[in-house]
Amino acid sequence: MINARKVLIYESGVQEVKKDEMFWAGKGLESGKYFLGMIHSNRVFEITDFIDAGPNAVRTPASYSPDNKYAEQRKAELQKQKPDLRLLGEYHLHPWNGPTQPSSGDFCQLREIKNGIRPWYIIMLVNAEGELKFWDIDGKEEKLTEVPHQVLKLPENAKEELLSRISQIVQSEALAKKSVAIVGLGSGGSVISRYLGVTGIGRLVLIDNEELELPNLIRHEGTIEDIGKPKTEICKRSIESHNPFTVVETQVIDVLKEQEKLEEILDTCDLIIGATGSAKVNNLINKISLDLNKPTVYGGVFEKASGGYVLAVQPNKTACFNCAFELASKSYAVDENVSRNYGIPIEELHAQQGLYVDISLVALMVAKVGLAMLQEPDFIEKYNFLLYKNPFSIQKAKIERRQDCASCNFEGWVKATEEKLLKEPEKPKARAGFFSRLWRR
Amino acid sequence: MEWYLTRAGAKRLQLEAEQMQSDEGSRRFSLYHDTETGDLMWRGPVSVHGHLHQDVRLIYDENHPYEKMTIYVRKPELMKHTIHIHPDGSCCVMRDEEWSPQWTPYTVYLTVLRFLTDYYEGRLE
Repeated sequence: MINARKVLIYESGVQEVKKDEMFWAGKGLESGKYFLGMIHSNRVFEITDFIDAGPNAVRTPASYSPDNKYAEQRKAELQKQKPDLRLLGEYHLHPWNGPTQPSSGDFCQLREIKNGIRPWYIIMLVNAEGELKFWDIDGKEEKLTEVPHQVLKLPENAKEELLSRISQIVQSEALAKKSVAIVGLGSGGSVISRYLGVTGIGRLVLIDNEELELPNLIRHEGTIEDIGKPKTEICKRSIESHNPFTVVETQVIDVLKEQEKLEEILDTCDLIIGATGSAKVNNLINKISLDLNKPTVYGGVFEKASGGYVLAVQPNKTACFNCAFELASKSYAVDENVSRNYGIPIEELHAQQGLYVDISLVALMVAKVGLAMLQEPDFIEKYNFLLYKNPFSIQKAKIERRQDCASCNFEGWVKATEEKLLKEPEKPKARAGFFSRLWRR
Repeated sequence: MEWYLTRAGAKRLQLEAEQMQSDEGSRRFSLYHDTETGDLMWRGPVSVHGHLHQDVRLIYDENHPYEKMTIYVRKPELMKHTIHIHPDGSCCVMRDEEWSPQWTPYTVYLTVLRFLTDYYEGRLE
């Protein structure tokens, strides 16, 4: 089965369906239409055409059968004009108020079609109130799932025109098949998501568990109206309002508490962006990225956004987060746990300083490196670390893998630890003068 | 599966035990498995500035070495007059941001020594 991730329907199509709904629901009869369109490589279904029920359609208060002979003829005519067009599914009108849930008959019919000649088939249900929903069957669990949809107030076939000013400089077809996960949607993550969302990447998975608060307003994509809303939803809306052809999925999870779920999500992606700036979260992402062999980009800003870093990792080939820990762990994260561990009261947490423009500069570098990792990852042979210093200084560096990295070079860590054990115990590098003071006493 | 039951985890635990054995102070710690809580920990005495704590616990996180160890200083417990001692009695001897998988119980033990010195010299906030 081919499952739709998202359905795009043009405003003109919605009007056509609503017209049909008003007419037949008023008579208390079921109705329907076939819909046609394109399936994009990121499994976005774009509905462009409808086929009427036909002159010999049969409508009753509890059932509807289209005129299939008429539909076949009409489909052939449309496909002559647009060869890429395919029959995507059908819409049913249920002429009663209430939820737009498919009936058991709808489910059985859909399953039969999906298991047969059209494994991509979906259905759209409209109720008497004009509410419309799209449904698909989850191939694994054989259950109905709602497919998110977006209504486009754009001219038809908008994708080509929308991407026309970047299509010569990005590998559109390749990017459309890629999935990117962004962990953390704070000041940096929201900018990263916004900019990666308009590059033609097929699917973005946004992961965060916080809501927008007042102090976030001047450093986030969200607006005054968004206070109290999940950051994931705000960023999703921002991306979809610029590029509806990218699938944006949201996951409101505490990544430190739901690690298995995080691993499952990241396993479905081609690139991971660690945008929390938290070394604790980055250590966890590092472990998962090494286990799953997923390229990862980490980014963070230093105190008062006086600078920041970007680290690109090709797992088990280049330095991992732990190899670069001394360089990359000094960024600060605006999160409650960190404040607690630092002993900073929550009020002071909000006083953490950093201009949006400075944070955004580093975030844009993360987005740019992320895009490069998807298209031309060979740059990582030359440099994998960018250091930004305010104002206007960027240094590129190649961080080598640690020979004794406990994360990505366990054998090396074992060897180094064994060697240390064989030697005389070395004096620990504690605070200057501490051990001498201790021994004197 | 517990981290120390994997092949790499078992090797790591063995090396960490050897590290603990390599130092006169940490040698007095023993590996202990709390069957009630499932916690794996190092337990032993620490003495700083003549203050003896008979039961210092360095408890592994289930995600070791990717998350930091939890520290308890007991017998006697420390006074909770500093923000570095949490309400449950665990001690904040390092920030989350300082932990990396390079840390071992031995390096944590050294940090506990530093922490207790700061505590008894009145340098903790």
